[in-house]
Amino acid sequence: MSTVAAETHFTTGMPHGKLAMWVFLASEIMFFSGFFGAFIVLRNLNIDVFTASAHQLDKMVATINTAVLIGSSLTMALSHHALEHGEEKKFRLFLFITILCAFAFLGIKSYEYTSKFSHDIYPWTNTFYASYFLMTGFHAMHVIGGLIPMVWMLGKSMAGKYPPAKAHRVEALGLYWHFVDLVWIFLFPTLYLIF
Amino acid sequence: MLDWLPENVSAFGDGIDHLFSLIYYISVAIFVLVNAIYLLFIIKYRRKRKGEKAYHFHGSNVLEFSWTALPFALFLFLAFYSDGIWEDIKYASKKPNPDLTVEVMGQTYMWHFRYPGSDGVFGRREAALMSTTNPFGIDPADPAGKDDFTSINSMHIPVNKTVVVKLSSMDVIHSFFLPNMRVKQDAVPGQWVDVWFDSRKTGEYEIACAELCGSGHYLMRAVLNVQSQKEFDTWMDEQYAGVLASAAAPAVTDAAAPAPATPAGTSPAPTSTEVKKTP
Amino acid sequence: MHAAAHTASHDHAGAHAHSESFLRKYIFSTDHKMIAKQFLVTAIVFLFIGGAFALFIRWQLAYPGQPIPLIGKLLPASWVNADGAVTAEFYAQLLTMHGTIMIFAVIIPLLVGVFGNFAVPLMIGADDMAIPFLNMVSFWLYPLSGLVMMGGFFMEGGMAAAGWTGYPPLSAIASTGQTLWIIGLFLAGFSSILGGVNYITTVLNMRAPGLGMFQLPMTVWAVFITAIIVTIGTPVLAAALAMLFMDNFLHTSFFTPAHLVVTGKDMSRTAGGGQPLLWQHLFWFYSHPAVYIMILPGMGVVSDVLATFSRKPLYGYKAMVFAIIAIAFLGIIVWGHHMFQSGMNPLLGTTFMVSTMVIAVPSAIKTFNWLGTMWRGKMEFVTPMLNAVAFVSMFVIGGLSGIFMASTPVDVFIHDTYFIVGHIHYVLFGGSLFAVFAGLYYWFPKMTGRMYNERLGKLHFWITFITFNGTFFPMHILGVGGMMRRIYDPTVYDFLKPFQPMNEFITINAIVLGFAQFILVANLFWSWFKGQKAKRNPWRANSLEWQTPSPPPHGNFDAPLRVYRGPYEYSSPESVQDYLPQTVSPEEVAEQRRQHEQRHARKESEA
Ligand code: HEA
Ligand code: HEA
Ligand code: CUA
Ligand SMILES: [Cu+2]
Repeated sequence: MSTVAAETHFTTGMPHGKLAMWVFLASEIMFFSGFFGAFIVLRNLNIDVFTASAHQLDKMVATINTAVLIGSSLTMALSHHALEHGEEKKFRLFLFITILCAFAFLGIKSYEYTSKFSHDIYPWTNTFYASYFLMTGFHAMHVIGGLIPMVWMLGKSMAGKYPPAKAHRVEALGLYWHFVDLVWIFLFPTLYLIF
Repeated sequence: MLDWLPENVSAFGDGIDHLFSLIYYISVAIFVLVNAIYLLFIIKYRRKRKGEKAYHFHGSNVLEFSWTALPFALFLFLAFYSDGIWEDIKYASKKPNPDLTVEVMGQTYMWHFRYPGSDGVFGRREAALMSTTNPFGIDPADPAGKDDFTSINSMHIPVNKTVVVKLSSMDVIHSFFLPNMRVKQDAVPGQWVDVWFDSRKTGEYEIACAELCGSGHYLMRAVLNVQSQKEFDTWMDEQYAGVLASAAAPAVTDAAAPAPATPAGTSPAPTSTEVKKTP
Repeated sequence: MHAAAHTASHDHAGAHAHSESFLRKYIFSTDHKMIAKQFLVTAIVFLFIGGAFALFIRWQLAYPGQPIPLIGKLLPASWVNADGAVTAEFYAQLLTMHGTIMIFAVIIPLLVGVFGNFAVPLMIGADDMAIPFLNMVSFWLYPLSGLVMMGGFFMEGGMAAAGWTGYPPLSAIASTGQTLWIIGLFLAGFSSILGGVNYITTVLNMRAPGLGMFQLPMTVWAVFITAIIVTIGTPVLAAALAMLFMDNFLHTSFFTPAHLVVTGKDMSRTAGGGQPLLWQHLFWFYSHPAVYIMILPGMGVVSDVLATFSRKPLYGYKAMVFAIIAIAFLGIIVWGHHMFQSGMNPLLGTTFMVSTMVIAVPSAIKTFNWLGTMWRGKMEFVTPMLNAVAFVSMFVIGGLSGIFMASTPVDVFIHDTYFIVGHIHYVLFGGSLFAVFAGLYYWFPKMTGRMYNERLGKLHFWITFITFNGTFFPMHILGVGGMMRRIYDPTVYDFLKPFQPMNEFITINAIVLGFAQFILVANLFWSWFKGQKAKRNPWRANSLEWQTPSPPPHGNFDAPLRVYRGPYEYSSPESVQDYLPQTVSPEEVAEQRRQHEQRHARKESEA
């Protein structure tokens, strides 16, 4: 895009990537709103089932995961800041920590899932668990979707092919990552706490 | 065009037909108006020589305003005028108290009808009890249900009486469509909806399913028999007799076990009028 | 996305080195003009598939249970019975896939994919889309989604058969074909969203110097607003599809209540607790805005074509823009008008009726402004203009039929009858598709660098216009007669038997209509390679795309651009000619004027 950028000016003054990311996130918000909307409707239809099932969830594990994810959001921001200021070593370090956090989150999530399966709890058990697996599942996919470009960037940077000039891309990815974090901030109370 | 409407025999249908014709004439007027102007322009404002200039004009706010305001007014009028009629035919608050209540259950691809029998009250039903042999999920324990009876693809009502239909479905969504009574209501599984109508005229009318419910959708046809009170009562008695008879003999429920109309493609719908005792 | 930008820049570099491999140029091209052509060709293929399905439908309705002539025997056994007549099972698949293909694989790709891609960057003076790589991905997801949707053809139980609206529980308990339909639609949605993001970014970020938002041609405005609807509406459909997928594949119960009794199907695994109407709300929350996705770009194209060939400024430009915006945002609060008879609370019916009536107002505004544009114009009836003119008239019919359905009591009777089918086709074929034709003929010279054949163009228009009305107008009458949609054999019902002659009449028209489309295809593809070369600006139009060679070079413009005015300054007294391109500076205009007057004066002194 850099070459494109060189040729075309940005009418809004914002790089294409970043602007596009904002628009895409608006779209993402609607995607999860669909799930939340359905969740509310189904909850009102099956209030007892929902309360009973929600109490079976492991609050502790989820809290840890929340911390992990928020931490990763922070390191993500730091890595962008570092690259902007040309400190490529620090950039790699923070990016690496972010990646670790992401993997940790996924690891803990899969532990949560397997423990549910071991108790014969599956998506088709009831509408609460259907929503639970659906929402957390799509959130996890978004985490993976963020991991891939992160690893790719880290690789590039280690090969010395990721100059500060490309910081605006890290920023765009950061936006996405904060969004993924934000979704979890909504999921956590909705699924684990309010019941 | 409106002559093509099937004959309306229900008092509740009059409002609909009235509104239909009103909107019809309004939109014909608008269509003619718009297209007349349109044709006029097409004929009048053709280009004669290459490069000759048109009238350079960007528009007028007065016009913009007026052709925003006028349709707006017209549409709001239509909306509120329609709503009066809508409330009468749909709002639960406007539900008339019925002379006869019938439960209707949609199943691929047939209609089940359930009558309260001589005592006029329905026996308990419970969703959990629903099965192919017990479409309504009737609780056999409840005495009130002893005289209830059901029929398949055949509905009978007395003339000039208000009928309330309690509508639901046991599998997919169907739609209870009475062209001559101007009734159409989706039958949604897990949900009971009330619809009401009457008939000024005796005779046989068709009941159709209007919501795609599978390849046999087109076969989901039933017959509505509007009879004089007297004929209707005798019919009720017959059914009731049948119920008692089969009550003596071991339950012949399987007689009515759904043999789903197979959408062979050419074979017409089975409009069987089997009647069975409730299990 | 970073990968995206990366390859994009490389491709760009490559492009400037003029070292494009065949793959890069024709298959995995990131050039918006090539991608537009890819969309066009793919969509036409799908148009014929969907259309062929429609013709099967028509044959069955006119001659129920009779063998399809000629090809009947050749068709696979899963489609037709022994003597070559469509089976009831296949009929349900036909109408489902016809609707799905026409909407998701024909009209949306044609309007958004083709015109959005081709016209928008050119009309705003950009060298390409903001993120070319995304653009390519968006395209390739599209044929893929189409194939997946139809994948059920190879499966046990055939293709999806629950209607294009895929209402559960029917769709939740359906065969593998339905599962593939869900996945295919999900992919199509993803493609739309990527496209939408790209269009919004492009329009916001890549306008030529001097080009303000209120100097954009209507096509750009329309695609821009459409893209907004796409990006906020489609994800909701995606979410709904995800849930339907789980119901259909994992036996969850988002949309299925407890205690379903389905003949010949074991429902013991489905716990229940779901709500069938929930799907309808989510589906229509997207799919009503989607119908405006399918008309707004058409309205934009038609506005430009009408102005150009009336040689007149677009009447009430600002009103037109605000009307589009109004339609887009009101469009989000009217979805319930598809559910008046669904068992939804009648009170909601009332509110949705009011909002639906209100949303017709901006459409009225547009209609009247189109009339205003033609008023005292100097109209030139070449093929694009003919199609644009037809659009307005046909859209009015489709719109007016919409008013009948918007009135809840009337909808009680006409809901799920052929009146609806008539409406659908007047707005989608009479509206959207005629707009597509107008746009195709209009931009064909710019796309291919050659002129289409005018005589064939006119022939195609007249046959289509006449048989279109012959096909779809009588459907309103069928609807008034009470004929239900989606039925395999109307003659099962006594009250429908009298309508068989009308069904036959419709079918005959439909067949002619269908085969007439070969004229279009022949014209396009013949002219593409053999047509006479097109000038830069064959229509003497103002907007930017005409101020560059036909077809435009890679990077689009041969000279740096500066924009001085809006795109509709036709017949302006300032200029000597009857048009005034956006790029001509006031000084040049004055200069031309001076020379013109001198020539005039000289003539007089000689006399
Ligand atoms: C391009 C697509 C498109 C467009 C633009 C529209 C436009 C409109 N539609 Fe349509 N609609 C569909 C595509 C579209 N529709 C489809 C595909 C379905 C079927 C879905 C299915 O399969 O079930 C459907 C179904 C549908 C229904 C559901 C019917 C049912 O299932 O029972 C309703 C109900 O209100 C409706 C209403 C309207 C209205 C009020 C408009 C308005 O926007 C129209 C406004 C335009 C005008 C009114 C004409 C121009 C105005 C004037 C000339 C001014 C003067 C006029 C007056 C003052 C009256 N539509
Ligand atoms: C843009 C959208 C669009 C377009 C262009 C069309 C085009 C046509 N449609 Fe369709 N239609 C819909 C959108 C569209 N339709 C939708 C959304 C539905 C609702 C679906 C549902 O209920 O779920 C519908 C439903 C629908 C029905 C109702 C089916 C039912 O309810 O049972 C019918 C019936 O006549 C019909 C007919 C036609 C015809 C004759 C055409 C003609 O214009 C087609 C013209 C033909 C072509 C353009 C190509 C012709 C192909 C060839 C010439 C090749 C010949 C080769 C062979 C025959 C092997 N359509
Ligand atoms: Cu039951 Cu259609
Ligand atoms: Cu709609």
